[in-house]
Amino acid sequence: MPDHKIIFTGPVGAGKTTAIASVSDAPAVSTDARASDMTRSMKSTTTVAMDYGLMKLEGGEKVHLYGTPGQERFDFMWSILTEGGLGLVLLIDDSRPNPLGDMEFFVNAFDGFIRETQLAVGITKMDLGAGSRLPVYHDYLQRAGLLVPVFEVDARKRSDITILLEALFFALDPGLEVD
Amino acid sequence: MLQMTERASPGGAEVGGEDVAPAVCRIKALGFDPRMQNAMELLFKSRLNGRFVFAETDEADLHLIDLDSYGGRDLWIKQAEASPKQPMILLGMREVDVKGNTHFVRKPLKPQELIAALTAVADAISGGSTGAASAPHSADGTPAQMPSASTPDAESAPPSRPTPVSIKPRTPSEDADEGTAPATARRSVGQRLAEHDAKTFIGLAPDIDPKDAEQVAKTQFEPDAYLIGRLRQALKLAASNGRAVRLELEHGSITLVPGTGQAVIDLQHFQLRTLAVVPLTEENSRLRFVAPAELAEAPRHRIWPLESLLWNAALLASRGRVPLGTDLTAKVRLKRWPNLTRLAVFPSAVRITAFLSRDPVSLIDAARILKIPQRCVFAFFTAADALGLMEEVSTAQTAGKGRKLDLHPAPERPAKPGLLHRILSHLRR
Repeated sequence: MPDHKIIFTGPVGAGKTTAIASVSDAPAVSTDARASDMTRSMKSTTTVAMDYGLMKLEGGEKVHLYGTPGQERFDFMWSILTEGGLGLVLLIDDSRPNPLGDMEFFVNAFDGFIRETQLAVGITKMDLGAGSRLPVYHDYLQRAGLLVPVFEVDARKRSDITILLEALFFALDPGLEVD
Repeated sequence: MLQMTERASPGGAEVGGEDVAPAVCRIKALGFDPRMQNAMELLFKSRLNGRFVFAETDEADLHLIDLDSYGGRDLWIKQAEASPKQPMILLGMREVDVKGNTHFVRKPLKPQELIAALTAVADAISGGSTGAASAPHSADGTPAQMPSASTPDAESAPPSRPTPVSIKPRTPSEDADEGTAPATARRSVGQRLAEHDAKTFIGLAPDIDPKDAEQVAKTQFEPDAYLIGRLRQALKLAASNGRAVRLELEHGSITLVPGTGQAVIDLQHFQLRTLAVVPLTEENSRLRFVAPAELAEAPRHRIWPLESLLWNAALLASRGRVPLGTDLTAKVRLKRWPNLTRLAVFPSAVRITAFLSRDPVSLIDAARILKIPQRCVFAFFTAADALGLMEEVSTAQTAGKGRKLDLHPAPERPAKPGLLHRILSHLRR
């Protein structure tokens, strides 16, 4: 039974682990905890894994949910992680100093994978009424030649992440029919 | 905790035998964060059939060194001095001179380049050909004597000490709780509509024949006669004058403040819903400017995202119809995706969005190709148009793109429609 994967990416603290956990059927694993938390919670022999979750479909198929480490020093891993992936979910933290710069970085870093598959963008930590900021993100993406879903999301809400993933899949194939 | 490390047994060929199990190459990783190592193991498993494994002890067939890690170059020097004949693969952002059985792979890493380097080293260890009989280990599992590489200058000379480079340690950014909204309460007004709720928003009208003028007329309504029309007028007034505008209704009011993306609603939810579906007149829906002094701090539960208000009002007024004057056979296109997580999402709304964001298509054809009721596409169009997201695309524009939309087949399908269907069904369970 072949396994499949969806990649979640974005800067540190954007909500990748939380988003994966909200749709994972297995307890999600995180690596973006603070060093002090990791030291407290880990045994000396524990192997640290990357952000990871799992969807178990009927029939035994699995869809692995991988969160890329958010720090740029791990960017060389990203091409390894995306191989064979179905699509990319990019989470951007709107409260960071330069969220548009973050978006530009990740869109460029995953350019090849995005063009082979699809991209869906979730903007986290938006203030009330800041929905008007979404056009700014849309404008940037359209200048980059991308007309993709960009939604405000709360990474803790399964419904938000579900709609984001649905948008990703329907963007891949609007012909999908779901009962 | 997820364990990514895999253990493979060393090749177990009989001494002198010809049937030799595939060689397994043990790698000692130096300067690697455990996460980087995990990513490598994924690569080994998926692309290299377990031919490489990370050694848990110092006994390894080759060393993999990250030059960009803290002290990475010193690790290289130290390793080269300790084991000059040991094959090495160096990873780094800046190229370094290597020779002999030391290889360099430049970052950002491309899997294929790393695979090529690993394979070259493993082949050299095992005798220079892919799948060669010799294994890194002897039959009883004890480490074999490493053969010299085939090139005359076999040993990798220890590198000269590089100019010290200060590596600035990265500091993690402030780590707020992931994905949480700011301290101020956030009202979420998006909702996925259940089937029965969807009927309220998109009605039950059957599909029409676009060639029948009478049927076409029934699909149209005048938005200006409804709340959505008055809201759009209020918005236009507020934007052009740079002042807040209030729509005063029988049981309450709606105030729009330009540039905020918000509406302050002084109405009960059920009142708003009722008002959205009944025709309004100028007499029972007065517009007026609001002085700054009148704009008191509104309670949070009264503040709606403007887009959500417009979308809902348009859907409710529409009930599966389009604004008067809409050409159902004209090609249209979505300018951008609406913020569906914060809007009332009826069944098939996401599909329609995805389809209309692709190539220009008429509303009639969209419903036909997607095999969904026309009222769903019409309702979506009306709501998206209320947000200014739809544009009509002329024949000249579509011809200029050098591509004709072939309407008869289903949309181009990716390779895994069954899989995506199963994932979607799983998400919606």
